[in-house]
Amino acid sequence: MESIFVAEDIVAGYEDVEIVHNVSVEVAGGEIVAIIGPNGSGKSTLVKSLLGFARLFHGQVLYDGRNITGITPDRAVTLGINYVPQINNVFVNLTVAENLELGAYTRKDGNIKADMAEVYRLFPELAARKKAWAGNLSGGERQMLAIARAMMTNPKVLLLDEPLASLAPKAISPIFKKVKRIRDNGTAVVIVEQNVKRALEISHRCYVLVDGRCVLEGDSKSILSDEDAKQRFLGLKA
Amino acid sequence: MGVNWAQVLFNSAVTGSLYLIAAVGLTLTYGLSGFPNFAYAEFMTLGAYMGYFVVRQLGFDVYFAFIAAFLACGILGALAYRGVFRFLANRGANKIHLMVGSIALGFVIRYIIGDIWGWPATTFGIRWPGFDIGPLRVTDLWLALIFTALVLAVIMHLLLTRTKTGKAIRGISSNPELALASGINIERVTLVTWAGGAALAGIAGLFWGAIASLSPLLGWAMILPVFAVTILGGIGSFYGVLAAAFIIGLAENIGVVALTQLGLSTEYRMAIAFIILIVTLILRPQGLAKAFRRT
Repeated sequence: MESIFVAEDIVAGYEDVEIVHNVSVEVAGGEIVAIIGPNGSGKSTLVKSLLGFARLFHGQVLYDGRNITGITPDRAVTLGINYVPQINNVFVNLTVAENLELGAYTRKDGNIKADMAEVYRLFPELAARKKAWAGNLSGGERQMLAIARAMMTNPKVLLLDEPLASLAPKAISPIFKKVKRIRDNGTAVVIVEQNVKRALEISHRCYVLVDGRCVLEGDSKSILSDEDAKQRFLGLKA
Repeated sequence: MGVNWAQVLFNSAVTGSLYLIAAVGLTLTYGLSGFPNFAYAEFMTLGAYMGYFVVRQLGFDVYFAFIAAFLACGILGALAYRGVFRFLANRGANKIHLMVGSIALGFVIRYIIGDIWGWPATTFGIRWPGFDIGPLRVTDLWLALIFTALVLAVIMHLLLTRTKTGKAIRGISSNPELALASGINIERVTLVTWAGGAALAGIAGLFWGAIASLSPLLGWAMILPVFAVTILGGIGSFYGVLAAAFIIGLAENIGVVALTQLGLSTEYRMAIAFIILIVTLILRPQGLAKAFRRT
């Protein structure tokens, strides 16, 4: 499979501190790739640095064969790369519908209405609450709105930063179902996740980060059945 | 002595209208840029002096003064943002530096105005004769002020809820990082808001100059109640400011009645906004905004 989004030899962090050391990640259209690892391993920093939300010290970012290293977040959106932050990922004092409208902010075509209807079909939970303040949604609904907002630009690459963090267990599988539907439409999905088991179940391939270095990468199914790797890197009991 | 309560309410509407026009830009730019712009006082002063310039020095009709104040202050606001605040922020200035910078900018503008037009208080030289509507004593100017505030409230509501830029203003104010992740051009939206807000400050200053008198300290004298309105309303919240402007307008006018009845000087009127400001900061520092949710 041809990778649409490639990050090579990334060194990233904040201000003068390097948190991520020489990590390479790539994802193809219609593929879900998981970046997993313990708290503070640099997963989020890695993803943020690719779009200009964190400092990129070294490395190269390619999108659709183009070098987009050092891109700003707003430019990334117009190219078709969308990012959903882990926290504060909705506009709390805007309504659900207004959140989606701002998601489409960069678009100038006339199909926004049609795409909004499409997003509501994918997220019927939100369609029922169009006029509700985003700040009044439940945790699961909020996460859905965050992903739905990102979908308003029809991104070719979707980066999700810990979409399951702080969600009730019963809210998790509906979110995963949506992510799979998005993948089925051909979008490349990168999912940063602490919930290792869930992440391995949903993804095709995964990268395991420890202390800012990639200690393991490969096919998620085989890692899930590799008891040694699970114990050593993921802290999962056999 | 009997109190004409209808008149007190009317006066409150006049005061509230002035505060509304004055505070809209301050609260929105505070919400977007994250620091209180004290030079806002001088945006108001410049608006008043544009009125003086057009009416007294050029001899034009007062209507042209509104256009001049709107344009001059709008340009000043855009220049202040681009030339001073964004410039400083790009060089690593934090919110405190920017606030202190705004005080400095205010001084510079104030002294330039003082140098050009002189320091003694003056007027536009226009008389606004009072006339009676029922129990109310009114002037055309007061009615124009209330009408302007009403139109502004409607336009702002439509702008913030119906237009892309308005929703972007609320979005940036609510969550700047997500606004960036949504591809919103924060720079452009912020610049437009600074220009529009400063233009409104100019209109407020012009009204105040016409109602009372003007001096280079006009804005400085008005900035305290305008900040009280901004903070009571909840920083960044237009709907909060809409409510707070009339609450403080009412409190001041009832206060004036009370001071008169007690035989105290109405000079203490200034203290009323100050007291409300302090009480708000103690009891409800987030202001009224949460009651409205919207920006």
